[in-house]
Amino acid sequence: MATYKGIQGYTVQSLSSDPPATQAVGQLWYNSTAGAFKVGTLGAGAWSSGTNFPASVNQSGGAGTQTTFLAWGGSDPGDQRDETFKYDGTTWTATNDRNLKISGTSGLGTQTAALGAGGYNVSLTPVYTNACEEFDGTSWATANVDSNKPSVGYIGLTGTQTAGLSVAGYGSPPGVISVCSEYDGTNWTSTAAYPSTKSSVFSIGIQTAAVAVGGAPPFQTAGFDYDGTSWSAGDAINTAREAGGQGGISTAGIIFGGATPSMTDKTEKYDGSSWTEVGDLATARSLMSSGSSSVSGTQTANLAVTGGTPSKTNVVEEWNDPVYANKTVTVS
Amino acid sequence: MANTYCTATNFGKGFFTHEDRNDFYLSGHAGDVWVVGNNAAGVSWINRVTGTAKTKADAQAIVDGKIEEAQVSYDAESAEYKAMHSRPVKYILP
Repeated sequence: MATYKGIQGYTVQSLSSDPPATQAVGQLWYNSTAGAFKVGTLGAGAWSSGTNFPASVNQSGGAGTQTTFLAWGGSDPGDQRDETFKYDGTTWTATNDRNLKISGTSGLGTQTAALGAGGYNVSLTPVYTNACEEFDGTSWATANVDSNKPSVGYIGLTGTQTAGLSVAGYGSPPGVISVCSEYDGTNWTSTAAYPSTKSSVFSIGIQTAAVAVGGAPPFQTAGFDYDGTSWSAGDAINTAREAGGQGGISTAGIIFGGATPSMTDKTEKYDGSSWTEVGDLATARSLMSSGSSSVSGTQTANLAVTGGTPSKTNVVEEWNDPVYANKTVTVS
Repeated sequence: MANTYCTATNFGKGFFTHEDRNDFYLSGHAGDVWVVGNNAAGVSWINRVTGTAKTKADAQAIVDGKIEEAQVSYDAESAEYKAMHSRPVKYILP
């Protein structure tokens, strides 16, 4: 029988175990333990299942990254919640509750320096509120309210705990608004109004270089750029939607899911000049924890937590781009 | 036939991987219904997650039932909620 060495003039390396997938791209080897040829591949970005959230909720707040995430509040069937959970990429762990039970809320920042702003609680009058709280990695403390938005939820929120940007939203009254505010870690200051009066816009980036797209009503694809002072026309997304997840910065962003008004599984990434469709979520949904707004993760590693499918769900998905894999070579 | 259908409970991490997503079509729907690309990798995944095979009609009926439940829940929501969210609608599985 012909051998590989006889044909090619050299042998395939034999390894007792596979090398790390990130270090094996383009390599071919024989796994002597498995008795199989293997090859290292580099695939397109994709969503995989993550560890299920401890409860089925939607409209919760979120902040952080794929391996250091914080999720709080939201609605379960019949009530608003104050529970807060940390995620380390594998396990959800309960931490101290928020002071106010809140839904339709928005978040920004990190697991150790997060800000939750706006939302609603049906026991309040009016039900929408501009209540803000800061999380320091251990507990929540009340922060100054945004007096520019007296009674508003579904805000597009991005930036950091000491340099945040609040974009438009929905409240009662007057309904959908275009008001925008900046947060300096202590106080909120009114800034240029969003050019399109919308709720639940997708917002990414930092206070001086932000991008906001989509939103409703009506559902739109248009996007706008913020430079720390004013808004200008930006690049449109491919699928008009609201209330999905987002992350990244103004030159490397990502949005996923949302309502069109039916739930969508579409994911789009942004390079600073155009939006491109990439791998779909496995489960179409809106009102995720990482949605209607937070700086949750990046364009290459992100997290979609809970949401409505249309029923409230506890499912989690993790985005990675690219996808490294060691695959078995099938010989036929 | 481009797709096959099953029910399976999403147990979390490892239920479907990034590789799975690149190897076959997969979409999840209400009622633990999964639409799976009908190739070797997709069939292997159904076996791996102990999925229960369904006809498209049966899978569609499960999803429709769950959407009807969601419609009932929506109808019971407050006016504030309804002002911000659309009533769930039925759709055809791919």
